[in-house]
Amino acid sequence: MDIQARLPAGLCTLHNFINHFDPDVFYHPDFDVDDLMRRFDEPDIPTDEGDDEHMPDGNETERAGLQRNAIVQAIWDNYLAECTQQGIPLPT
Amino acid sequence: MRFPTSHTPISQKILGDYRFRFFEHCIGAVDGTHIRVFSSNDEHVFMCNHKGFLSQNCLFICDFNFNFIYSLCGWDGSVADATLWKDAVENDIEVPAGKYLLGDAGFTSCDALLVPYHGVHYHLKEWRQGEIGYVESFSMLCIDLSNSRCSPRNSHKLFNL
Repeated sequence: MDIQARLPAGLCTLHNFINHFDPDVFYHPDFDVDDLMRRFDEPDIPTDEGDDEHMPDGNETERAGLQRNAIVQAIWDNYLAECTQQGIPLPT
Repeated sequence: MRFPTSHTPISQKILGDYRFRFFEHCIGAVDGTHIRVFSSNDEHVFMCNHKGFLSQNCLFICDFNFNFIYSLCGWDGSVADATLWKDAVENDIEVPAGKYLLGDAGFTSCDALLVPYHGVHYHLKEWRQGEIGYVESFSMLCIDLSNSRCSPRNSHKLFNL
């Protein structure tokens, strides 16, 4: 396991090296990222595990919630404005 | 791999793109991924993950220039992403104050992580099938508004798109 655990980090470094010196390789027609995803990506099973453990303290949870709500409200306001501008019925 | 500090500027991929204007304090994205391993019979009970195969659970953080800026590998496959995150922030990384990473619903909302609302469906499958048009990040900043399949009824559903 010790050696296997080192492999992903090594590959990350290799990826960064290529991305730095020859990033176009990732856009080459032969580099089929969809095929890679099909072959190696395991189906994701949502777990919602974040709710169960390692809860930050109440103050941080509240602060993070406010930060998220502020972003969400800005996006929502923008969405409604875009709908109005494009003549799309507003959500009811 | 170098994790951003408080002096690291926000990527131009964020600042220079009108669609991402709501995420001007975002420095990257984090996720856990299960990588298959060979392990001894004794370890199978620990290495078997919730998907049913033997793996190490690895935590990766990327920036918006497609570079890995952090990796934490070798955790048992049975361990949740949130546990890896806790290990990372307690022992390795410090997200600069006021900045955050994007995470999925497997993580708990905190100062350093912007995550979707739990319990509100989000549409990864539709993204991948291209049914919602061109979407790159959390929100539907860039969806095709004329697509009737994508009409969020409230701000939480919109955000989780």
